[in-house]
Amino acid sequence: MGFQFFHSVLLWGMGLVLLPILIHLLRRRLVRRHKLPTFEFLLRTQRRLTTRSRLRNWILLALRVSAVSIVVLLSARPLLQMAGGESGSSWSPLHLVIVLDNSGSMAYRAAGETRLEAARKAADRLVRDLSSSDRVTVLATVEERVEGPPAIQRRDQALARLAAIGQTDAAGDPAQAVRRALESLNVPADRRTVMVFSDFARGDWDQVRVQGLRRLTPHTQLQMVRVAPEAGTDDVVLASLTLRPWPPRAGAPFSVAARIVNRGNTRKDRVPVSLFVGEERVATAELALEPGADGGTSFRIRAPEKGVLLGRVELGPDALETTNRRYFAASMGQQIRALLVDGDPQRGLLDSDTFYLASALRASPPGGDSPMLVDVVAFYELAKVRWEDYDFVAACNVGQWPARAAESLRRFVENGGGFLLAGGDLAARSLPGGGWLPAVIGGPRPLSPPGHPAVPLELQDHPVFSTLGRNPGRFFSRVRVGKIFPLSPIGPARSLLTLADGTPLLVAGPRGSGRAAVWASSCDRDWGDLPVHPVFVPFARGLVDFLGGRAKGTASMSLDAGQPLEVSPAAAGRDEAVRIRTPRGEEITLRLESSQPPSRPGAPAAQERSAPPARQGRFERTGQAGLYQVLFTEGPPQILAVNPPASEGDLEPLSDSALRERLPGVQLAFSAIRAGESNPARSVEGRTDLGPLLFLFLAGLLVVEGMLADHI
Amino acid sequence: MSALFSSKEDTRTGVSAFFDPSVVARISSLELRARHVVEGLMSGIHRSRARGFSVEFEEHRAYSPGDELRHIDWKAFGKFDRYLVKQYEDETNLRAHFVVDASGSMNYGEGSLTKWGYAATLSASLAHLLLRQSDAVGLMLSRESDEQMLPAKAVRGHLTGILAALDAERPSGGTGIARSLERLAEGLRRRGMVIVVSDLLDDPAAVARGLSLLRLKGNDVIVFHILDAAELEFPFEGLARMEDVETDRNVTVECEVVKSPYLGLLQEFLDGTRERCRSQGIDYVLLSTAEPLDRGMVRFLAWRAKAK
Repeated sequence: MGFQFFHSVLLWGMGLVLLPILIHLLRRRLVRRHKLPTFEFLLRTQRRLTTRSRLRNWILLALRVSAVSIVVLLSARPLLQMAGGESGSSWSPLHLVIVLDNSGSMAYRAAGETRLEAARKAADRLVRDLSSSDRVTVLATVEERVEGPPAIQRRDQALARLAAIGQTDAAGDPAQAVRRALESLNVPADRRTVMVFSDFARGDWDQVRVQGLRRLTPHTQLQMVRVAPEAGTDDVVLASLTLRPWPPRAGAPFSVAARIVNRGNTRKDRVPVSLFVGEERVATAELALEPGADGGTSFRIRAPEKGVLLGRVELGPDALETTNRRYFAASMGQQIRALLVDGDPQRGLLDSDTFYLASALRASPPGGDSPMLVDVVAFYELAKVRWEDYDFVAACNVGQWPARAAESLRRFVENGGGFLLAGGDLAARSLPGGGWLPAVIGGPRPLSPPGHPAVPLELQDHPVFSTLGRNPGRFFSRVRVGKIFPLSPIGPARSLLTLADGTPLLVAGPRGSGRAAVWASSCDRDWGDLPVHPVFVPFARGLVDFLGGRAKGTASMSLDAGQPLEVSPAAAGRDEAVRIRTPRGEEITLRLESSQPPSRPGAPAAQERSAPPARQGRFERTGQAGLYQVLFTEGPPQILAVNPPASEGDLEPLSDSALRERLPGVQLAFSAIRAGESNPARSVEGRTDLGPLLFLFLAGLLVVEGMLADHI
Repeated sequence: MSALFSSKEDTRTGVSAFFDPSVVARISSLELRARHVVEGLMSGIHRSRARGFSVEFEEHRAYSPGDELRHIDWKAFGKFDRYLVKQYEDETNLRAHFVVDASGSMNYGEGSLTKWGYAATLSASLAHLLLRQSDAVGLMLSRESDEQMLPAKAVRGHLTGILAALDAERPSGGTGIARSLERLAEGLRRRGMVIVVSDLLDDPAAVARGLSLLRLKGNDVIVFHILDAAELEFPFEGLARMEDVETDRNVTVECEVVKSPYLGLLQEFLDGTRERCRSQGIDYVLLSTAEPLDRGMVRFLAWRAKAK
């Protein structure tokens, strides 16, 4: 229990209590003097009255000093901090912001209810105790991003909102929730209270840093309510799964290794670990784990010949179900079938234009096969090519195009194939038709000195560079390009690689259902040294994946719960919307938005019309762990395994002092509610406005003062 | 006479200015004041000069200092070789002795006249009146440690001496009225009239004893108890430091708080004094300095008529 003040600076006015004392003393100094012969009678009177009079004077002085003190206190607006929530008398409405932690760790169960249920019960009681003039904002640490300030609701709306907040398996974003809570405090209200109900588990709160709280005035209280801290942190966590080979090969053996951590304080003798494929338990193992120790177990199964492999590993039940299972999914996808057209087959193997590109695409990862099947043909064999057997075609220094080959190639691309045109001295003589390539190609031009490729800033996360991590441009900084075709992108085509002065090196763009790209340099070492740089392999495979990836299978995708699911243009194609099936079986339609960049001035309008924009979308309701399916209009669904973040297993709560360090500049109040408590709101510290009470007291004081002063 | 005084309201309407203390206070000479008051009184009442003196020899008494030499019986000196003074029966109509309090407390006055001024004027006026009627008038000025005594005489010129003594007196020091009354009682050889003009702010028991002694010697005694209006009404307000006029003592009081108990105590004192006087057959007149001076004189004349 303690006091707070809205306007604590006004407490300096407490010096005014000296005023009655000064008046009292001055009045004694300024007394009039009178002589009186009958002084003896007065003396006798005074002797009789002295004790009573002095007492009365002291009482009057005390009353007046008290009255001044109370007026000053009233101005400073004192608040009594005590158990019992936010109920109580007050001058003015309260704006209560409730932040409910619904992250995975709040599913921890004690006394028959989860921490989230206990928190919701307390919050519900608090809201019910508010007056009708009070306003409430309810926020969750895991929820969809909403533009603008949070909604300010009436009591009944807030109760409905509280009931709608569900348990998730995601990591919360408490910093964001606290920031939004503070944003909502901009509405006028005399009393503002932010109450954060959470377990303050290290996994969620350790990284929290909320600056700028100094702007909070004493009008605002930030109260941290620990939920069921007595329940402890006893939990066995399925920390990770390792699946090998990845992606699994159809019909081949496939291993699933699970790492399990005992975060509790007691030894776990028999921790059951089960592997499920679909809904069938296919294997079970048991582990013994010392407190704080981790252990592992591995299962080996055979991947299906085709279709999708869906499964999960699951531990036996304990206090926190969230961390007991992890999901995985993989479609036994087809390998990309790539055809490389060699325009100069007379040259030696190592000088061949196709040598470097074929080598890069055929390279296989450790323990797995290459995801691409590569065929190489000479340019004169193009007439015999069955285009439908390939997903991707690369023309390397092709200077002659057999009759109808160029036309077949255009149709191949428009029907969904990928095409890369690479430069070279021969290629300068002839092009596979005009108008449908993503760039206008000029005559070859040497660069002196040689240039270095760079990735435009806005394209750093383009799928072509997906295997190069952040800042992919650094891998190209030592690549030298000595000769190029000048390229002018057309329509929606974009320059994925440029020289330092912006000259396009790689231009890609959609064409019909497929994609085409032009590489301004050669695929061998004649015009540059890119093929002998390490970046060439991931770059080439990323490029082929991007251009011919529509046919490749979904090897795997995994997300942490709560992370947004990105539906990429490559996957979405021209769909305007996709349906997403959640682990609970709900189907939610996600509208896709155009990813078309702004059109270039001077680009032919016909080109723009012929290339409908690709679309992409972002699905954020992935708070529930499990398998999500993205259903497209055409083609197989995209399946994602959404798992609880490993951080949710770290249940150790942050101390009060650690939380204060993370929320500097504001005085935090702490309280706790117990699991299973019948009225948890009773344990929450609230603030009672002492204004009305003090006002009544002041009125009484003045009445007594008046009566005493008149009673002579 | 009673009929005369019963109509005093009527008589005062025309001559009120004669007795108004504020008017009297403007007259600086005590003689003029006395004459002013007496003339005023006489103009309001029917003149009735009392006559009929007796000069029958009664006895000799031993000479004492202060007796006039012409009263020494030289024949008796030759016969007895002692100074003897002749005593006559009914030498005058009346022998009146004024005992006027000259203590410091009499020097107090919030209004136009101090208590001393009021007492002196009253005494002078009465002396003037008595001497006009050929009564013998004596004066005792009561001070803290001694008294000034003027023997009673019936000669007209004696008034000058009385007035001079009153005029010259500057009241100061503590009160000694009780002691003065006892001394007077011891010194008086013949019965007469004693007029006490004082605020009586002395030990009430001692004052009562002094008055009692005077009465035991057969004197008619009238007490003019002079108090200032401020003493009687306590008109002060707020916080005040009240100081004793005769000593250095002072006390700070909340006037509104002490007023009621103070007035209660004062009334108790006045009632006690009045009761003691009544029980001894002493006429008691309480006069406020704010009251017209004629009230005391009229009261005196009424008492005088009764005494005869």
